[in-house]
Amino acid sequence: MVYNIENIFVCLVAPLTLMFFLLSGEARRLNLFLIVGMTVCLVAGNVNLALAAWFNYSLADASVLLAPVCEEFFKLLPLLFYTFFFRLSSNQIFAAAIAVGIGFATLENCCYIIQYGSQDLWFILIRGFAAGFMHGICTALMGLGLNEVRTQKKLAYTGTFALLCLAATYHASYNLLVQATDYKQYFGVFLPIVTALAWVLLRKKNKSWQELIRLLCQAGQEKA
Amino acid sequence: MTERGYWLTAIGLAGIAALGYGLFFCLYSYRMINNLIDIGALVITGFLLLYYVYQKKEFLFLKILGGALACCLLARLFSILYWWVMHKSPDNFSVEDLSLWGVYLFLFSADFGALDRIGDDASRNMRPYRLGALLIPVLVWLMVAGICYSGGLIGLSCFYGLFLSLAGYYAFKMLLIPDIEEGFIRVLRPYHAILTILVLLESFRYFCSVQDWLLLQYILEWAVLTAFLFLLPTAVRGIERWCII
Repeated sequence: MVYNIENIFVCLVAPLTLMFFLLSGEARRLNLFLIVGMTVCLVAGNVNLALAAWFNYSLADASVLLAPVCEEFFKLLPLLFYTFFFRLSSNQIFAAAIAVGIGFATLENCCYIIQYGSQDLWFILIRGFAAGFMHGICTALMGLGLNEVRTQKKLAYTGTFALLCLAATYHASYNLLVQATDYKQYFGVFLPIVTALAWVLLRKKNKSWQELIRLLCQAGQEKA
Repeated sequence: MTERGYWLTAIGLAGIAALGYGLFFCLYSYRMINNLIDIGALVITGFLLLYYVYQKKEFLFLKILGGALACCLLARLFSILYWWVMHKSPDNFSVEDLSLWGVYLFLFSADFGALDRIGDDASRNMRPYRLGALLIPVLVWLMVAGICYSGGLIGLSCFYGLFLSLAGYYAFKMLLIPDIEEGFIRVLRPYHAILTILVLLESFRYFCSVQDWLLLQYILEWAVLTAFLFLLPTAVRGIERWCII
């Protein structure tokens, strides 16, 4: 189906823009980053198309080899701006990074539904979670990394590009798997879900997993 | 886990990898099996790194090393997945290349961002060491010239050469420069020695892959993996001494 991504963008961003003026504080900031994520998706989508035509890539090759690099690059730009021009806590950077990723995934999912239909609820549900998690993980990874390196200028220059490489490869692995036509696409769909679950479990401070690892460490030391 | 445990694990994994590489050399799809072996070894090393980071303090140096490890792991994973889904290897540029650049960028970042300002005070006295360290980039670029001359992709080879030479330059510089009072440079000398060897091995492996010297390439792939596995215990050794100092 032929669709116009700009129109979908306007349709989604209009209520969010309205919300932006009604909200305040942290909620307003998150709302702004959702809009930024959607804007990045719009720009990256158009640049992707132009680059694919320029390099004469097929749709499959472009989605695996071009789109991850291009999309991650554009998602990194607002994060770079936010991290280096404002003095913010690591939690604020992390939340902004996730919001950019989720905003991106929202517009991408809308385009996906319009293009491929919305009959299969089960698959749409999984796809919705998977794309959301994947974009969220990639931007969160870059946000966390930027938070680590922002205080050291020399490290920031090189570390940022290294983080981009890492996120783009993860994104490309997901794109590669989900574009398969057989059972392999389910591996792709579950890849970000499993990663996100592992991340959430590991991030929970002072909770069971860390306690378990600490206990194992202590037991190992006592044995040694 | 003690420092000895990390060493024994690295030696054991390198041994198992050597056995696996040797066993599957004759197979048609041996490269995929090599990648699987690499993934297994890197996952175990990654878990050890996580274990260490949880056990001790979260050092930025180790986190950067973890980034390099993750990049290397994802490069191997992508290579396998591409073959599995597309039933072929990428023609020209692949995201796997990007991930391999990331490995050396992370390793370069650790030295350039975290250590260089401690060891090199930008004085005239340091000039001989800086010039001496240029030996590694010269060697790397000789390989890159050979790759380009043999018909390799010029743009990709130059990018790869750039990141390899940057990582190699700072690693070799850290080997050459005199130690500072607290001994921070000295304790990480084994790590930098291995990193220098890794850079040289990797550039030579790349050169061999363009020349289609299969056996040599095969041995070098194993050597690169082994050098990568030994980065962790040597880094841990250095970090342990930092804690004592």
